[in-house]
Amino acid sequence: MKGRILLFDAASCTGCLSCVTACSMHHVDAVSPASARIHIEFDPFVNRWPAVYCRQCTAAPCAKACPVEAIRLDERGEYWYVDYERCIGCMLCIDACPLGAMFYDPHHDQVIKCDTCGGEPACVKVCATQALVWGDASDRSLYRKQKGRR
Amino acid sequence: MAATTTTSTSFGWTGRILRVDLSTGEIWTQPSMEYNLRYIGGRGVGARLAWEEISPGVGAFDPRNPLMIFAGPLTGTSAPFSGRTIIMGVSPQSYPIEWFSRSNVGGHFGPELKWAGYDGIAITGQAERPRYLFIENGRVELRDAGELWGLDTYEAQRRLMAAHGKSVRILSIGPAGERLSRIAIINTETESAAGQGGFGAVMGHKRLKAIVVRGTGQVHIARPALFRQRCQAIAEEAHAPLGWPGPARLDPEKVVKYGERFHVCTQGCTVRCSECRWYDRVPGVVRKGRIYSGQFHCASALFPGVPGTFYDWKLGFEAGFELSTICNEYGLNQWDILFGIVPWLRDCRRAGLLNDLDGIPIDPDDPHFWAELLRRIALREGIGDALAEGGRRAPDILGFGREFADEYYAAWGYAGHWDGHGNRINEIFFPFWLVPALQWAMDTRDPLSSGHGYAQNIMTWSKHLSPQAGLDWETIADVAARVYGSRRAAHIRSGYEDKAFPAFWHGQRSVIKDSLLVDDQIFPRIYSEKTPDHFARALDMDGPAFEYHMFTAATGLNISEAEFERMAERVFNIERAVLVRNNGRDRAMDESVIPYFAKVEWWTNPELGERQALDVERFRRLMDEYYTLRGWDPRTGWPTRRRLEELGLRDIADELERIGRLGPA
Repeated sequence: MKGRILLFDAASCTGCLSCVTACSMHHVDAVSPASARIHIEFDPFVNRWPAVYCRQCTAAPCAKACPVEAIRLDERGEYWYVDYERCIGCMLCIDACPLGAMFYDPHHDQVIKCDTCGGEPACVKVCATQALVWGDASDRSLYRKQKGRR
Repeated sequence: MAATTTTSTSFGWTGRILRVDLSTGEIWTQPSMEYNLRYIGGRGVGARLAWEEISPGVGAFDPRNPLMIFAGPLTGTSAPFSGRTIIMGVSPQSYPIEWFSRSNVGGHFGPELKWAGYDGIAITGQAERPRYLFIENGRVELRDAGELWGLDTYEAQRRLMAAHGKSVRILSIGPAGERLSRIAIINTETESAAGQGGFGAVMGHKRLKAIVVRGTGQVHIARPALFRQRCQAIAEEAHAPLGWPGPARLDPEKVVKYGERFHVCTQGCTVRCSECRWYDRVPGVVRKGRIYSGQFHCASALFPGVPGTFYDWKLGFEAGFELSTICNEYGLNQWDILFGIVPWLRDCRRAGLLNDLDGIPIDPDDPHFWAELLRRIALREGIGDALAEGGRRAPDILGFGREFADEYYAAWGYAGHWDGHGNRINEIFFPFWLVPALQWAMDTRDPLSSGHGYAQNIMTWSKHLSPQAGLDWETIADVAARVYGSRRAAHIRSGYEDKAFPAFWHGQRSVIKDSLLVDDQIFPRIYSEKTPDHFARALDMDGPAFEYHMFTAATGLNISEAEFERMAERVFNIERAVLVRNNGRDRAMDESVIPYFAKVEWWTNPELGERQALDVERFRRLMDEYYTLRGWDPRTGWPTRRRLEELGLRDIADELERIGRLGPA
């Protein structure tokens, strides 16, 4: 059973990319879209754009593809994280992810993925329109669309 | 250039300026840290380069005129409201003299430029054939733009995105810039533009259709934990929409009909802005069958017409949105058209000076009139050829209507803005427009682009404009006293007292915002609905010091707040020196704003009950006070050696002395 989940509402995203810069800053103390665990595929000419980040899926093809069991579930079962002590840099996880949410960070020469900042996602804190929300998967109010329109 | 990965030893800045000579095709980089440490970045570095590189006699349409496109030390970081880009050079719109000035653009270009590894770009020369500049980290190329030339700004961007991927960020010009219109913008995305200044025409003259950037590098932060903490606290403090009280709401009818939603004008903006919206699939009125989507904000709000105001033409939302889009596509300056040209044409028609545009009746209630007007300006057809020179120059060329243009154009070729006279939508009354009047007198352009901090803040934070959430006049004066050192600086019944200091102080703040760069609508943070005394604060930071605290945490520079302000004052002085040296700027020129403000104001101060006009002698005394604060000679308006040397600008003092334009000691 899922614990807390991170949801994205494209209708509320304003395109500020603060989630991207906050994510990078949180993880590597520097700002680069290439170090961010969330990508906003902002397009100035369309009405909606996707956010690409790990949805902490149950099947976790990335973890299954990993030959050295470096992608592991945290104690509470909320998020998958990369154990860099084990990771051999083979990138099979990138191939395996059906969402394209495993990234390679060239600045640190490693694969990266959303680990929900260990349960306190930095992206959610900076999102002014609540396009990104973090909460209990059993809380149905979390799923209400167009949250930013209130 | 060979591909390189970005390496950086500096924090905040990347340490490199990209240089391009379009005449020779040469591309190189120039170290920027020496400049950054003295002039902050952005506008500050541009001003110093202007002093060093723009000789007297270089006009806007001279290949030697450098088009400078700069980010700052906070650009591309996680600092809130830090996504803007500043564009500088000799401005074609400046009137009566083309001189060094600036324009500011939102969108997502600046952060990408930083991630590509550059603090800024300086482009000189003139290409033989249309080109666009392509930047992908260390790979920089001038590419053929033959196929793009003639396209509108949206189509040009779409083609470039098709060629280079959706993640590139683009600055481009449209037909107006290609035809050297002095009101041509540099556009990015749908409705973000360096609107004022006419820099689109500088690109057009250089035959540079667009600049495309893709960056995957990084911006380093000196004190990451502190920076994160400060940025989060500042973002939370500023979470009120657009820096003024009360929540921003969408219009339920427009949500249903046109998919209205919040959309940033600029990367890094973490508020639900009360101005910036996205609309989807709005049907065309002039061009039947066309459907428009895009951003809509700022001056655009005037396109539909605003009932009960001076701008009461009856176009309605759909036609207004369409015309705003057409304006963006042509690459035309909305401000000049809405606040200058159309009111001027309306006056000319009423006075019987001009009834039609080459056969099209002048009727601001008719969207077809507007569409024809925009087309004629952008393509320089018929009377549009004169109007393409901007609403300030057009009456000179056409030989009529000068007196009407004088109503709308405050100074330097720019239509009014929070001035209580020619701008008749942003409500402000005496004595509050005295400070903008001084700002206008001392600037190179409309000073409000990065100088909203006094006028707009006071008015929108007052109960007068924000009846529900606003502050009473006494509270505003109390809060303002913390910044300006006197309640009279912002009291509703203060008249001419203590108005010079706010203009002086906001001069520095304008430089700070344009140099870091951060958003003018948010900073400087003065008033707050979150503190008991309504003075903005977060953690141990006072609101007006937010920029300083982000700057020092990002760069690691160990300087005091006073030193930071001094950096900004240094830049303000360099800009003055460039104009004094190159264009003979002096007090007499500064005073050219007086006749505009000496007219009776448009609104009435409710506590005075009577409309006021500028008392010229008292304003001249305010100017004296201002020059004294600046350390400039009150007689000539020239900088003095003493202040220039205090600011570490001895070389500039020497040069001004050599040409006989240094203020006496």
